[in-house]
Amino acid sequence: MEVQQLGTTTDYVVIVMYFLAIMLFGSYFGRFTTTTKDFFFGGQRFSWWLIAASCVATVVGSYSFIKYSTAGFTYGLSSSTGYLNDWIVLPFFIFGWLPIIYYSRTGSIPEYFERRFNKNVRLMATIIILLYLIGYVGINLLTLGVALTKILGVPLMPTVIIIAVISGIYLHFGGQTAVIFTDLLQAFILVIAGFLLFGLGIYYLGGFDNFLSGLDLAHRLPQPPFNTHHKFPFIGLFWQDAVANTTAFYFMNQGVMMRFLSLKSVKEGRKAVSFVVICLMPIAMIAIANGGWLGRAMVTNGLLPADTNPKDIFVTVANIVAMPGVFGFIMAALTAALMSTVDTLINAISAIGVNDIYKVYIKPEADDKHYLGIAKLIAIFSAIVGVILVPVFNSFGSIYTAHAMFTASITPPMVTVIILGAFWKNFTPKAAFYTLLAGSGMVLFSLIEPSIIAPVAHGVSDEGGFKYMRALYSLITCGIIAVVVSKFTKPKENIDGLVVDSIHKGMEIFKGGKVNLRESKPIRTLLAKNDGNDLITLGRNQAADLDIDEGDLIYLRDKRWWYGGLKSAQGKLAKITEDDNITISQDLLDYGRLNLGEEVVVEKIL
Amino acid sequence: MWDTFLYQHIVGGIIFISAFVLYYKKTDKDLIKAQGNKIVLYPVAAFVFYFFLNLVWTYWAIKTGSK
Repeated sequence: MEVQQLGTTTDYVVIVMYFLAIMLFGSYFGRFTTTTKDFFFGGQRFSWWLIAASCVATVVGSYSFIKYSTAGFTYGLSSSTGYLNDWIVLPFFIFGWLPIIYYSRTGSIPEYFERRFNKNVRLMATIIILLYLIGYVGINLLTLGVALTKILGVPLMPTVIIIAVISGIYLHFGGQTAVIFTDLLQAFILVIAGFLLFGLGIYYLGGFDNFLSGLDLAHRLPQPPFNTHHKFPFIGLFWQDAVANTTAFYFMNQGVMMRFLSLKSVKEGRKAVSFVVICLMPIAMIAIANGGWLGRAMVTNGLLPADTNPKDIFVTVANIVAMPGVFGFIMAALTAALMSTVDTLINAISAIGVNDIYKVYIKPEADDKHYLGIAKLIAIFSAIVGVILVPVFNSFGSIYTAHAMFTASITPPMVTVIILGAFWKNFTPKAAFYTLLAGSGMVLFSLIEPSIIAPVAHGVSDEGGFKYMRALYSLITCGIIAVVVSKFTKPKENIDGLVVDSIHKGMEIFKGGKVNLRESKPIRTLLAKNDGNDLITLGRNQAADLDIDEGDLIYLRDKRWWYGGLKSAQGKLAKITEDDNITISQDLLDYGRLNLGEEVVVEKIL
Repeated sequence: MWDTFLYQHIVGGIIFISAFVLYYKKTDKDLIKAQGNKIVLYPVAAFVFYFFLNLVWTYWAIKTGSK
């Protein structure tokens, strides 16, 4: 069904107001960005709930509402499966990857690859990740542009340019801090819009019982059939989505990695990711897929024709159940989903551009201000390239398909190298190199000759070329290459803190001395300034309450929790004094934007 | 209909548990002790939540959807 010129003037006003609000809100956070550490990592200061919300905004892309509503309409509640299986790889992230990247102060995935393996592996990873990210920016912009063109009848390129300019402006000024806070706002909008649609749809159907009665057994189950639907087989989704793509999202996605590095501590990272997996993903799933479930119930109840195109179901349902203004709000949410994904991608490209190309190959010795300027320029350049790619992807469907094939080819080798690199100290640099090279080659070969996947297809029909079963084949192939080459080559020495075996050592390197892991609760105390060179001093009584020693890492923040750490600072405790307060230097005071004489919350980090 | 539930929790469970095995086998014992139980409880809570969610959901779907 071709949908043309939906919505009213009120809807357009709501969308334009939303654009302006997001741009101003994001740009406000430019004042918190003075170094590359701020621009990329937000200064390692944020609270877990802030990062958890922004992660959800990143995972929900513009295509999510369309894609999951389509699946929800066709397959029912099992469309949620992609959002409810992250628990499988959660402990790998919590126990290994998160502390490794945080304590090793790794700025990018390629940088980790050089430190863990060698320069060749870093170069290969840099090329792979950049191609993936830049292509992904173009695809996200195109997806939303096409959707809005179809829905509102607006021309494609001006729409794409406006969205790219808005994202580019607030990212240029605010960096990671702007990304985190706009994503927090956009996460709320996504969820509110999704639940608003659900509520209005239930009302339109005449109650929850009518909604449920519109779903038969096949549409009620939490999982699709094991292997009978070659387009949506449980077994294919398990290996491709639950194992490969989820690992790629948490371990390989530079943007997500930067989010976790912006947290005040590893403990906060563990809380954030657990909250995402247990609470936010189920909520996000209902928000993005319910359009399809409602559509199916409407068809069963005779409120929609049975031949409704599944690809149009989200917009069709939104247009039927939403009143003027609300429809615009839901369309703004669709845009929010795009912007919160694209801003993360652009910031990630900027980080890799500066850390892995500019600093390594162009200008290794420069001050931080210079690198910050380059980071901002790369952010603008990435947005422009993303826009340029839109007509290219739009004109040549094969390029769009090529990017999808490229992503399918590089994800399993990258995932294998990251997991083995973090959890197996005998995994060698040569093995990593050949896993990326030969592993990608083997995956590409399977795209030309899909029958090679048949032995691991679990009975899924070869119709469609084993699209979903390729991940299992790829993981097995890459795993074999990695293990065999490692057995005949020499592992790298001096990888303290870069593998799970030496996380303790990594913590000591991070701190610059023995770590203090004794449990203690945060305290509140008055903030004063010290005139000496000491960064932070603390009164004896407070130090006793925190069970802290001189030289330990300490974190202090504004007492208002809802700032999420925006006003905060972290540093080493230089001296324990006889005073009854905490004192910090002028530099740290300015950096943390804290107010003298006010109560602050103080806690020990390590 | 129960085959997907069993596969997900048995095969997924093996992958999940292998992370615990690696953690207890490879991580410094002093660090494991100092980090305490909280670090283990987060993923365990996720497993328990999704196990029972899928169990109840599958049971409900079969019971109500077959009518």
